[in-house]
Amino acid sequence: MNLTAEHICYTYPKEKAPVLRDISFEAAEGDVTVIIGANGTGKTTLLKCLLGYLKGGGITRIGGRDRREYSYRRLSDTVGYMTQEGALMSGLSVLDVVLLGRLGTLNLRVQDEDVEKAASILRMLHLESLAARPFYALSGGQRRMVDAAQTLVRDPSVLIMDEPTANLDLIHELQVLELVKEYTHQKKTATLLTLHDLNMASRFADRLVLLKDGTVYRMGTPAEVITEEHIREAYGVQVRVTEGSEGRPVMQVIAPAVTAGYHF
Amino acid sequence: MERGAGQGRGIHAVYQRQNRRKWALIAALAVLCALTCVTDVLTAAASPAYRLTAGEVLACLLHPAQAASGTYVIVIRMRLPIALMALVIGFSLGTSGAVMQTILHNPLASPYTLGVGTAAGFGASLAIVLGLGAVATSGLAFLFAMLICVMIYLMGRRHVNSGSLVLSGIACLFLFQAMQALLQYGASEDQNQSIVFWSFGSLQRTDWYKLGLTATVAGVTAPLIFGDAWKYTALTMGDARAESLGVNVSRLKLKAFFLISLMAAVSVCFTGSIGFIGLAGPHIARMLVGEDQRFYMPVSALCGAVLLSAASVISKILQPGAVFPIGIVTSLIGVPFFFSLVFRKNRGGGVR
Repeated sequence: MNLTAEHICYTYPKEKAPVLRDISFEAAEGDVTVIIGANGTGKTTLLKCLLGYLKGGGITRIGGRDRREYSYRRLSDTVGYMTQEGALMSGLSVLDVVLLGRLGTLNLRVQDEDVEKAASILRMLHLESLAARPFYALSGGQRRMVDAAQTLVRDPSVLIMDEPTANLDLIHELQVLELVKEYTHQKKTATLLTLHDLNMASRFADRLVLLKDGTVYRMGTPAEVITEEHIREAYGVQVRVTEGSEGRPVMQVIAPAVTAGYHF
Repeated sequence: MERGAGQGRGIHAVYQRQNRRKWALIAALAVLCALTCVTDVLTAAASPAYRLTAGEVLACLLHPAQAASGTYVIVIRMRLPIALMALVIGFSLGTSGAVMQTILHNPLASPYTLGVGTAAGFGASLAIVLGLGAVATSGLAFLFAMLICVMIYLMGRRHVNSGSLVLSGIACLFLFQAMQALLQYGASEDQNQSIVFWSFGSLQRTDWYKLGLTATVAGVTAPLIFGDAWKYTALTMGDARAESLGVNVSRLKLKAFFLISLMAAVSVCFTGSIGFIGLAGPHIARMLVGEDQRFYMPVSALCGAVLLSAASVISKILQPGAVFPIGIVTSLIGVPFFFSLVFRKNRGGGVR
């Protein structure tokens, strides 16, 4: 099931300038599509518009059908959405939190299948030892991992994750992204992520969408999007881009982003 | 996916064991309810002239038709409905308190702290001052209790944060208290006495008809609430998270508010304001079973029932030959709970 955005635009209430103006792109099934762009370019806003949490202009199609034709239930069964904001400090156990991802199928008496699914995701993320721990007792990074597990356990056909690797250290960042990539390729989901780490984006994305000033500045394979010129234009940072493994670009900052001018 | 299935089964086994323990706890609480209820029926309240032995009471309960008429009146018409009413009201207050705390994300929310009891008290006082009779007293109490629930709901819909919502509830509580004081100021001495007696909160006005109505409301609303347990559990992680998990949060809250308003309003309109059950029930439940609402809500309901039933027994033995107002008893029991809530070391779901 692919996801297409057609002419998405959005202006926050009480503000004049639109955050998003006319954004169109496609997240194809079986592909990891990563949205990148400087802070405040509207990455999260875009995801919320796609899901209908924010009501702006434009059309989102999921599997070719207008999102607005989906019932509440159908939509939440189809799309797994991992928010950027963490959850409230809950006293629930980690296993319960992950189980909640399968809310649509949970009964008062929890089915074995649901517990199996939750346990298997926890295992894949090497979190099984935390299963009985209360959620509030986890570290920020562990909580993020559990959030990812909660999103993946629902078996969505469209996977939308807003900064899934925030707060994660290198190894856990790799774990989550590897898992998401494998999941996407095996289950043929349309996966849409936002990431702030451009090298990670380059490494894991099948396609990149680079936002600038509320529009799609560049779109394409990592090699097409991550160039010295594009990064300078979109982020205002001088970088050197070299070729890494699998021909994917790797970048390195070569000049301070801001010219010296700090006085303390 | 199949890798390490043994470990998965380990998680599974632990989970099932925990669940079984919690179901057993619910069963144990139900038994405790039955025990306190029987104790309640066995406990004499009236003057020693009517003292019945435990044997007589039990015989009357088992074979009402063969009992002496005096015994029949005392046991079947008076003690039994009161004892059952204590359970039903405690159950209703425990449930509505639990739901309020979950949807408002605040452990200080309860029918009493949000002013439902006070509003009902004002409605009842109004009826008493206007000389409207017993049915209208309950009716107006019910109306005002519903009114304050609607007010809380409407404030909550405008994305007011839960802290301000609870504060608004407390403000409403003071408003209704002031209006009640105003009524009392203008009321006659007889009316004043009725108002004061009503606002103590008492089960003594119970009859089978009121019990039937209260039990029906509880019996209809509770399953509707418990059936949504997983959605409420999702809500404990925050409204935004619940939404992303597929819960229609605004619809769930509307449904919840409607059901608990009904439950709380029916409870307070017959008995007057009985404080702290709706606060203590959820608090104990959270300590016993945590946040999983499948267990938390029924445990809170049953704790409420046990507490009120026990308070009913205490209210009869405190003062020989008379029934001490049960509202005073529950408040005296409730205050230590309130303190423990406030001073308790932070845990999940605690005061923040």
